[in-house]
Amino acid sequence: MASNQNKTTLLNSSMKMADFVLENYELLTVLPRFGVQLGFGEKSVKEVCAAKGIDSEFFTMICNIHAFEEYLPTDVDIQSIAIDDLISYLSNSHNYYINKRILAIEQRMEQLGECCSENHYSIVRRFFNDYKTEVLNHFEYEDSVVFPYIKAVEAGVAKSDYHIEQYEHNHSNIDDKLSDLKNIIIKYLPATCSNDTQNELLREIFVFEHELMHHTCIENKVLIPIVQLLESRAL
Amino acid sequence: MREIIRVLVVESSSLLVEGLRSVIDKSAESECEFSLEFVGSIHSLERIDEQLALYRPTLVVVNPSLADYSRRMSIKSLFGDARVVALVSSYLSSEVLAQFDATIGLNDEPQRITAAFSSALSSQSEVQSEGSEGSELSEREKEIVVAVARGLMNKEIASLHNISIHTVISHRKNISRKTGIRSASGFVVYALLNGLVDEKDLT
Repeated sequence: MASNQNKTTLLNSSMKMADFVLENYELLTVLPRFGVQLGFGEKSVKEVCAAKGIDSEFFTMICNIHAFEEYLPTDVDIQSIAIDDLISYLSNSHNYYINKRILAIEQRMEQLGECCSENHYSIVRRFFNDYKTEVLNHFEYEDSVVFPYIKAVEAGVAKSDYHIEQYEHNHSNIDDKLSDLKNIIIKYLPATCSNDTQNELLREIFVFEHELMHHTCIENKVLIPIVQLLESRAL
Repeated sequence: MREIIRVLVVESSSLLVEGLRSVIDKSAESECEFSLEFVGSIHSLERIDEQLALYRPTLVVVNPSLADYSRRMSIKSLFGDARVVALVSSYLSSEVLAQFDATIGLNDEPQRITAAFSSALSSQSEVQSEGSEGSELSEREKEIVVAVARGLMNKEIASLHNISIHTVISHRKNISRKTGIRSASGFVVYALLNGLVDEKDLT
């Protein structure tokens, strides 16, 4: 298969599952959120998804969003999504961020604590802890307020005092702080640690930031339009 | 009578040349202060002097990637007195782009392209100051950082330093541009790590 050609060709569900991952290693972190494990042999995406009870078109759409920065699903694509699939994907993503990505940053942070001055470490650590609390609260709010609201709208039993607009543009503060943390470590934390320690920490922050960008994209370009459509039907 | 601007396009892709030609032809209908005329296109920088003598362009659109690395830094000088607009289709360093009178990209709308031509024609090849200006915080900016770190609101900072809120906001923008830090709690960390405030001063 011509691999260079695929960088401009969107993934589709007739492709081999293995090629999805071979072409875009970032998708390695997406698979577990669908409960898909490696070892799929020569099976196509459709076959793997069917065996797991996953909508292969939805799976492919999510993979395309992760693999191609400029890809956006069309309105038609969006309308065929089952809202429960989407919410369960977003919810699984939250768990993945908390249990893998944030944990990894935290572990790298602790290594920093072993070589930084105690004072500097406590300043940076406090900033990170505040950030973490904010992110966890945000995820918790989505899981316990926003997602149940959306399910209620879909079931036609939503209360009218909440609208999805209230939830839009809620991410910027969180993004700012993660970006601030990068700047602080790159520019302002005195270099008392080995490069490796700081680089590994930074790498984890960059990875998480990149993942969050896709997450926000799915929320803003897929979730919100669907809910707005549901809300307008409910009126 | 509007001034006639003779445009020569130096680009290897026929698709791009035709696209630009169409933008240039259509601009004749718009209310430009000048009239653009597509005088021709060449696909490489070979024998450029002869080509210039032939086409006598007022403005050249050139894709800098046509020049090899060693010539890229001085590509504009190939075109003598003509104004030169870079057609950017791949990654280029800011040093390379700095020599041009204007730049256009593959995704630019026709209005943006004619606006770039217009600015190239009127430019006094001013040097972009961004980056060369000092990026250390000024004393006043440091005072603002400290005030934000202490949790003061813009209004309180304004009256404390006897400046307008507008000025406070513009200081904060400049601080964020220089430091990359945008959140109030990021300002706290900046102030502490740089010794601008002491832990004890913060509530």
